[in-house]
Amino acid sequence: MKHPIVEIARHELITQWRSQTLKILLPLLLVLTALIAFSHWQQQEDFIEAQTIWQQQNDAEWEAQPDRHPHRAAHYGTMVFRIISPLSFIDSGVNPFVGNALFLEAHRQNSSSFKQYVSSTAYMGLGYLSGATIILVIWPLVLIALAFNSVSGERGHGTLRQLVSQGISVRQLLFGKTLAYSLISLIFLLVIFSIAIGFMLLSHVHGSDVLRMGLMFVLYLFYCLLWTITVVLFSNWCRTNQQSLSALLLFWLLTVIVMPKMANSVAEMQYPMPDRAVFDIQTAQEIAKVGDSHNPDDPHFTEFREKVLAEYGVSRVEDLPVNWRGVVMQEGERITSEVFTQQYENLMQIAEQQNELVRQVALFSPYLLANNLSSIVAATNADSFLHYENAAEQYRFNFITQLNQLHAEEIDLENDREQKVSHDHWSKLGQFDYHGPMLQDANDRIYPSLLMLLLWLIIGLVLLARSRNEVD
Amino acid sequence: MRFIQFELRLLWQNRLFKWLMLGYVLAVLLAIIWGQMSLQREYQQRTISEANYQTELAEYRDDAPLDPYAAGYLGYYQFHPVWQTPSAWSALIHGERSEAATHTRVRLLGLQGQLSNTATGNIAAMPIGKLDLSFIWIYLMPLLIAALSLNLLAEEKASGRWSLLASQVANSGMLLTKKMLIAAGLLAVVNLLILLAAVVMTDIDFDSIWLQVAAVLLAYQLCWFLITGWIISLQRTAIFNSLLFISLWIVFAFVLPGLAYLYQTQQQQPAEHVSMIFDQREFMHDSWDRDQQADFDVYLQDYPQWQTTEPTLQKPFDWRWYYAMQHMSDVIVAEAVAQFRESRVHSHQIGNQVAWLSPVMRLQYSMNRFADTDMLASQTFLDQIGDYHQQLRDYFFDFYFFDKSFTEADFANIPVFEYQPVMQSYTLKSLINLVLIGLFFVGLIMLQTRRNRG
Repeated sequence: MKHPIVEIARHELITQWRSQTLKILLPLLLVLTALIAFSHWQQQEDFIEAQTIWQQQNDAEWEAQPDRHPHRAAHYGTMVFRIISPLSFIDSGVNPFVGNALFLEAHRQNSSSFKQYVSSTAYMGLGYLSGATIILVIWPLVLIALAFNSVSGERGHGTLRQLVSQGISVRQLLFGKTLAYSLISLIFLLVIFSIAIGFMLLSHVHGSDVLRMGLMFVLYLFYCLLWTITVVLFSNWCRTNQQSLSALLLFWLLTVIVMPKMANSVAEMQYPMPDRAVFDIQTAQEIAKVGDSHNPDDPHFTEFREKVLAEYGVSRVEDLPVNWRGVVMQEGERITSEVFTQQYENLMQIAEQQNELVRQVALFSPYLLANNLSSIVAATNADSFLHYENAAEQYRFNFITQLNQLHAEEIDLENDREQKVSHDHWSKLGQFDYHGPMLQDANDRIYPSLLMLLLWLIIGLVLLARSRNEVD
Repeated sequence: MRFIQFELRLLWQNRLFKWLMLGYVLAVLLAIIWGQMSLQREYQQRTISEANYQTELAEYRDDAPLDPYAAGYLGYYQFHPVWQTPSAWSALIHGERSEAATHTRVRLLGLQGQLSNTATGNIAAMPIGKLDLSFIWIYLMPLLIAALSLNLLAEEKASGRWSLLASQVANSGMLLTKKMLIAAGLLAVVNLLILLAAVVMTDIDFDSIWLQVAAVLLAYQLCWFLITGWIISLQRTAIFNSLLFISLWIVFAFVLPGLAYLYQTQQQQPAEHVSMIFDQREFMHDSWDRDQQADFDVYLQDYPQWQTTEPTLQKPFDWRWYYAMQHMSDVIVAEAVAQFRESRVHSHQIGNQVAWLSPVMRLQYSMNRFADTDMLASQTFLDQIGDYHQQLRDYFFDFYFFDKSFTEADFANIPVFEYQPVMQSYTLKSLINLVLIGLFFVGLIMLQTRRNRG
């Protein structure tokens, strides 16, 4: 005879196979998920293509500029377009909420603009409809619907007493049931991921993306296992089926819907952020505190002039071997960039404080942990977006610096505005060659959540293992 | 009357009921307090930007009168704050307000490039969203309704009271209806009290909008009670009832809104409006390399109100030409901007159409309209910024084009932006929609009752 746990699992699977709930829910959910995954994959490919074309157009237009004064070219500026992760179609993360085009110009740090679509996401209050949301939010509900009575039902019908009298312990029963529902989750995930892999093969993928996808699969499997254990445990603890169902639904509602939203609201109350206008004002004020390059009497720039004059051993800016205006422009750019980066870091510091608070709440919500991990692995989390924005600001600074250098070296101070440099220079400025963060860069983000998730899993397994042989 | 008293006492003795109600009221109060706090914070941010604006203007005023050339710099450097003034209801109904910058600053340069600023905010929090009163009403209240009434019959049956009761009254269905009406009435009273509390705790007034919100909210509540009633009328087990209810809730609150969004986005090309930035930028910078006098002549022909200006441009630089080209850079992308606007409004309309199928979506569209926190409001804000920019241009161009110096007194007359909320109302549509869905389920209940008898 087979091991009793396997036997119980087999029996449970046969029962479920005959039950209507599974017959209706599983195909329905698979079709919905496949449909969503297909649309999102299609939209992702369209978007990546569109962004690539815009980038090419931008680069072509940049190089096609006529002879221009370098500072004019610096104001003409350039644009960088964010290419989303090829795993966005499973977990879209922050993608639908952020702008994907950055206009880079002299003196100013613009914010990312143009979302992928203009439609509002506010009406999806229970979560953005994506494969990840279906797995992380809806699948637990299906598990609840399938398994809430897996133990309480046996107890209610008196079959539990029979089983125990046959020498099967409650512990074995619980593990058997857990095994059965984990297998159902596994089948669900396998179907979804084979479809997803099909889409991936149709597009251009790197080895690292395959790895990320594998990790997502493992993560989701863990998450489903955790939920299966939760449902079986609740079903064991509750006296009646109805109690078990109500308790599980309430647990789902609190940990998946209410707690995450509440945590965000509390965090936002606790650590408020300046809005767009005030942030811009604060940045401008900080820049003005350091120095105003447009003010001839500005103390910082007076000092800076003395320093530069001493460096070259001359007494007048007219005698400098470089164009003084270009030098000033670069000093101004250095200040703007430094101050802005600092201000933006402060802003992100507030966001980080908020996230820290949410992370503490997340310790009690496996959903938040898994959701967070999922978007990290899919490279669609907030950090990977900020990584791109930082890279763009660095690129902007280097880009403008090169133009200021042209200004200083190729343009004479006298009659500055009337001069131009050859358009040959434009193609010499490097293009934005961006690579997203590597998975291992996010290690310090991954491990705490992963450990916590594992801890929950261990607690769940221990609780299963320590279940007593109560039959009534 | 005795019956009502008895039923109320029965409810009060029910521990689950007490805890659920307590949880509901607590969550609601927290949501109201948080909402009001963040509304006040929005006002504080506006105070900061206004103070800064006045300080900046005062610095220019100290140098007044400004000759037209110096006044040109005023136009170039001075940002003017624009704010989508939140309605008092936005404290309770946050809607789409986080999705675009509602408080920003514009200056006299080409406008479209300035409008693509996104809101600051914690990106990591965006996919999860926050908890406001409208979320509790729209998404969570149906579950409370289910908890209050879904298993009335099943519980009575389980407790063995049902056969006793049913044998005493002629029409047991009537009895059940009465029991549900009491639960519904109780929740209605609680919700009305919450709305009254909101009048005290926030800036909302007890006015016609209050009454409309209350009416739509009660209709929504009724709608869910009828859905529950239909499920009860199927006379299945309590388990079946719960699962069917949750499935319906998921379809109305998750699947339909998600599919609506998918459909909305399928109507669009991704990032299709980027060309606005390209075209504007290309025009603006090319103009430096073109014949400036020729461009300026064309501009004067197109805008005859400035024709009496000195027609010849100053060398090497003339602010009039500069601002004329900035203006033209907006004009040449006007069609793209109109398309962008059309896309947004169209998308909103599609969602609004799909909402006919889902009471959840309907209430949300309705609520966001009450609070003026929807796409229409956001788009109107952009439109009004456009009008305001026109006012600024008219005001400053008068000095630039007619060679007037900008005096101290002229600072007081700089146009000020004031957001005018959208007056459109969805109240009637929402009520009709909710009543129709309600009637649909009434029909199902009647059908089922007949079947049960037969």
